Amino acid sequence: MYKLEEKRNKLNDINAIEFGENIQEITTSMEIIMMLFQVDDDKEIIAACKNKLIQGIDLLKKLGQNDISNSFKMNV
Amino acid sequence: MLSQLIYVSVRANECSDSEIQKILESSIRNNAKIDITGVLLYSDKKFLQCLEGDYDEIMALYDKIKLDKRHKNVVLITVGMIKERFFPSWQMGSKKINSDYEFSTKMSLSEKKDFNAILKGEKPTESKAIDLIKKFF
Repeated sequence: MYKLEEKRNKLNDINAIEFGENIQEITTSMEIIMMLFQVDDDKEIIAACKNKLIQGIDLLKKLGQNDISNSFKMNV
Repeated sequence: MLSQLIYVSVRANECSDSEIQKILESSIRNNAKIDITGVLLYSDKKFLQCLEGDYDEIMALYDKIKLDKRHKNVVLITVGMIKERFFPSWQMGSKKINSDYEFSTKMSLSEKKDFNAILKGEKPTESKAIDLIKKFF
């Protein structure tokens, strides 16, 4: 029972993560997900961590693209 | 049932060092009443806390921490039964990462030495929790 509760809590915590809007917030949250990813061996939790990490990477990409397009605008 | 819980969280922007001092003071005050011991490690960006005590008490405290605005993105790393406490006399010890060792706790010199030994990997342990604490440094 306790193991199930632990797993449910971990999945809820990962799914509830909000990355925020700046690079530092996103990377710090990703570091936290990586900690769980490194120490847990449950397949569902690892999959949830991976999904969330991919969301974080996508956000970082978007921020990078915005920076690039903004720098073009400034240079034009 | 004696248990140990470890979580990590993002330190909210508005959580100053004086706010952390308040967390420690209230931890020392409140945790003694419910027999919870543990340690709080923090950096400019993150918290890692280890709580030890009765399972229901530490789960209830964890739920409260998740609602605390000084924390963001609280993630449970591990919770499980333990035979004995790793931090028995610490109502809530603390350490700021990347600074000189300065523990805000009333622990003995020998306990300080033990903890430093654990962090340096000198004291053998099979606990994942302690391994995680070492990673945080």
